[in-house]
Amino acid sequence: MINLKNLRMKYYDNGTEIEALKLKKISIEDGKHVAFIGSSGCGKTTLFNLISGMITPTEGTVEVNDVDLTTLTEVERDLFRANHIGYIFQDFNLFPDFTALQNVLLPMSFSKRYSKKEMNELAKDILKKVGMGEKINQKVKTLSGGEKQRVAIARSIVNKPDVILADEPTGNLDYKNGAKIMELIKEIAKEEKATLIVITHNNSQLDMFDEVINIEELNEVIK
Amino acid sequence: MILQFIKTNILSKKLRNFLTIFSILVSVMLIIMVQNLTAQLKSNVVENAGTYDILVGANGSATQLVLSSMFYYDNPIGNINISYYENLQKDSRIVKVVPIGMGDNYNGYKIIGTSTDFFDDGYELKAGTLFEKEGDVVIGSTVARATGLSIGSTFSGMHGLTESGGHEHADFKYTVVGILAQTKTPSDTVIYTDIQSVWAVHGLEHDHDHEEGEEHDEETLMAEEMEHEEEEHTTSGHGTTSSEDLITALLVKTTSLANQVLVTNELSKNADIQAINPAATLRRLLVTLNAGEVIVTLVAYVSIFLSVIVLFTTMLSASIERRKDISILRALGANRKTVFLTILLETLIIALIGAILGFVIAHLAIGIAGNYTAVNYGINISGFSVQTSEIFVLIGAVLLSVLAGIIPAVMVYRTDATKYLK
Ligand SMILES: Nc1ncnc2c1ncn2[C@@H]1O[C@H](COP(=O)(O)OP(=O)(O)OP(=O)(O)O)[C@@H](O)[C@H]1O
Ligand SMILES: [Mg+2]
Repeated sequence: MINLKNLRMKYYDNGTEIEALKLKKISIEDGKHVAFIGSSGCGKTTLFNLISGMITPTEGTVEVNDVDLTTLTEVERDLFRANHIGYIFQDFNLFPDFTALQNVLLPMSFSKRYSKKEMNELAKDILKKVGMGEKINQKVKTLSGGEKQRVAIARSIVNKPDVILADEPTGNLDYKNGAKIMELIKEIAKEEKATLIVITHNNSQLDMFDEVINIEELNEVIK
Repeated sequence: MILQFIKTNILSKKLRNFLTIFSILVSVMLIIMVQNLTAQLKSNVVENAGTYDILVGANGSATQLVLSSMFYYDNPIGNINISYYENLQKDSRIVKVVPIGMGDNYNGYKIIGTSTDFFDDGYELKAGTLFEKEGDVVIGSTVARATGLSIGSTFSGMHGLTESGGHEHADFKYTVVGILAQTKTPSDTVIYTDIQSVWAVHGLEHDHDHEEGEEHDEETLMAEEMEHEEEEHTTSGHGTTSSEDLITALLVKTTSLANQVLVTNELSKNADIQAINPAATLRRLLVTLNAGEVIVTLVAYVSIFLSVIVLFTTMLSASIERRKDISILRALGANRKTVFLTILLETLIIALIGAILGFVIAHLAIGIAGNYTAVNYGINISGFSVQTSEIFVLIGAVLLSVLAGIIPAVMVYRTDATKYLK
């Protein structure tokens, strides 16, 4: 269960205050597949950063899995993120000089969950699952966009997250590849029984989701 | 995994990291070479000066006297009268007095005339005996190895102290009767004979010159004439009466410090000679050496300072470039401390590689230089001798580097990860 209540997010940039977000309530039940929509700058990514504990709100509470992230220290939030949140980005954000396998192994060392041997086997299994079993030892910079996003999907689930956050995951892919990747993300999230939130600007994908939340409408800062 | 991350980072910027490592390497190498070489040279030189407390020789540079008569380096200043030797031998305040006379050379190895007393302190025979008859020689270990001379070998000397110049004395044969064990001093590179033998050859030399002089080609003749002029000059200048009793220096060991002072004072009253304390002269020489050491060390420290700045800018630009990577790590659940330590550890690894390579290369270079000085000057310098100060240099270089890594690491620590992710 994700519960966001009475949220206010203000950024301070060189002394000037920017109020980015003000909203009463968002609730997302476990295992649901949800889309966040809304125009650019309406605060979608900011919400992701709040849910993952990368930032804390100026006011309000952020509850994920019955834990109020605003009561945790930064180090605790980092560990929480490692163990419960899987991130997928538009720009993939992989390490290009690392192999697919090394990229997938990296977050496993932050969650402090697995032994070395377990890590390797699990990482290989997951790469197979996303269709990258043949290219586990290939450097990421030599992969195509779709392949990169497959590796990123594999990376997002190695720590068995409860929540997968995908910020415009198909934004850098062509239509056909984008559709395939979206299918894969949903399939994987279902298999992992994880809550999935996807930020998307692609209206044709919206009927795949249990729920579509328009952040622009909820954000009281935007009038 | 973090180590893997660092390794990949270092390898992905090969050229830049190579240059950084290289600059650290050069500075560390410079400092270590200077410190190590001067320390080894000093201990070598001071050891060599140990046995004798007075050195007597012709007037002139005291340094040159020490270098020529105790290190067989540089040319002798001139000769002194044999009467000084005879008087000192009778003196009860003296433990021993050893004459040094410069003779010919064989293949560039100097033939030194002395007495068997010379070998009492610090010398051992590897084979054979000390010299007894005229023409007997005892050779240093380097000479034995380099020339292949062995017990029973005979050879003729070349006139003069160096290989070039002069001609062979075919009519005077030396016979090797002993080979010295290695001393790791200049003694390894010379041939010792009784001073009588040197005088004997000298006598022959004079006859030989006057008889056969006309047959030499002009150039040799000129060279010889100049040499003899010099000889005659020193002979008359220092009151030596006959060409058969030339002594270049006397090594004197007195019974006590008081006697050392007394004997030195008495000897110094003679206008034609100088009596010096070799250790004191060497110490003065080392002070001069120190000035050089200070300059080179200063340069080396400036260079290490510069390399730290290079390392600093390298790590700074690396961290700026890597803000995105760091942000990704944070999104994956790494905490600030982890990314801070990652940058610091990367700096440390680069610095360690540079410092260790600098250390190893410095010692390799010293080892190679040591081979050369051992063969050519009998100065023993080992690549395996490590001074404690070097450890401090290494630790210092690494600490400085870590310091250089701290600001970039702090920058990374404070990075707002959400700004660099899309
Ligand atoms: N670190 C920051 N410092 C200052 N302002 C920020 C920061 N991050 C976001 N903002 C501001 O907050 C507002 C919401 O930004 P956010 O990135 O959440 O929008 P978004 O809905 O994800 O937009 P897009 O669809 O373009 O990705 C914007 O006005 C943005 O300029
Ligand atoms: Mg966004």
